[in-house]
Amino acid sequence: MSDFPIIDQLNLLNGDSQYSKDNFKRIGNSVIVSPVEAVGDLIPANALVGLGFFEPDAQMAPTTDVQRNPILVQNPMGGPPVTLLEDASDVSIVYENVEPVTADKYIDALHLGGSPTAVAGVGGGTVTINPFEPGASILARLFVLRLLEGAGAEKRFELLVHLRAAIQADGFGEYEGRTTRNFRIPVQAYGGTLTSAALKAYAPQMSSYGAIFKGTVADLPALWENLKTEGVASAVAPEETP
Amino acid sequence: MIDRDIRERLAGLGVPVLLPEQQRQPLEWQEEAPDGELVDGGRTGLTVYLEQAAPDGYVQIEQPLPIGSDGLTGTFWAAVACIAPTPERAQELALDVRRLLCGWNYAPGPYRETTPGQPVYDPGGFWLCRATYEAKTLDGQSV
Repeated sequence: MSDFPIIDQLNLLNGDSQYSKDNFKRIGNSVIVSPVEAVGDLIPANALVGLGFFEPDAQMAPTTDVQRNPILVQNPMGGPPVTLLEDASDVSIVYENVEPVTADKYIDALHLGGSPTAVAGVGGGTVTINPFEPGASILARLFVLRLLEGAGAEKRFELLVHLRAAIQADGFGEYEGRTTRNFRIPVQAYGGTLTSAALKAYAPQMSSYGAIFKGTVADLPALWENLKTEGVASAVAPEETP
Repeated sequence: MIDRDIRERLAGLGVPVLLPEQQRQPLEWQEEAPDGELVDGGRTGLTVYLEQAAPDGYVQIEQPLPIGSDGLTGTFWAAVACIAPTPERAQELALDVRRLLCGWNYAPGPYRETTPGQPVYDPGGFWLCRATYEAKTLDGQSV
């Protein structure tokens, strides 16, 4: 109940909850990628690779760039034309600055654009070689798991699922004096739909760019079991034409 | 209240967790015989408390300090000291406290470490690991 009476008199749908301190919560991010094709010998196709720790205030939210064109019509009252509506003409979604601070050999392989090849016959055999390809892009599934502050049965998650995205190396960064690997991950349109038994009824709820699942963490393992196999390469087989 | 909230979160540690107003309890501890009776002319003080009531160490929550406010959120720094007979145990307790208050980088709790701690020897004969955590209030209420 708001002590200031005017807010109650407005009869808002969410008159109390709009101010609730229970909604002032911290969020943690985990980014999981799953290359659609094998990355050399190191990462098999459809294996799930986590990207580790991010800087404390890193926001794993995509930069959505939407080009809008206003459609103007004549103003019935006279005067300059008025905007009837805005038409979105171009949408791009990119996760900029995905910067794992503790990159292991798997994350490093994704950054290099491929698995290292061991160089035999040079010294003790620890040397590897990778081509220097700054434009390399690895097609993968992208899952961004956001865990909201909370304890026990009510702890909530948000899971952004993008069934096609491109993992692109974006140079190196710095965090606390240590080198980090920087990734830029644009989301791509996916031509398939949800195919697992539990989720295929909800295929219309997923757009070409993906879907957002929310729930309590108790239900996350069951959801993950279904999502692990969504959008894997074998699921998008070309249709046979007679 | 922030100190009560911290104590509630640390309840599962299995060691005594003392509020700011209980700070003198270990210092005023009197030696007890095995049957619970006080020993006449026995030893007093923190090392006896550690021996008898807190062999695995204990946690002392200190009075949260108000740092500032922007009008909507208030910021407090609450120090939590972990006292134990060995540095390893003090550090272990401090890591458990950190985990319970701050969660993980990818699954955070409501507190955030502002000043880290390392075990420090106190000439009184025990080890102390003291870190400071930031607590926020929203519109005057603890978050």
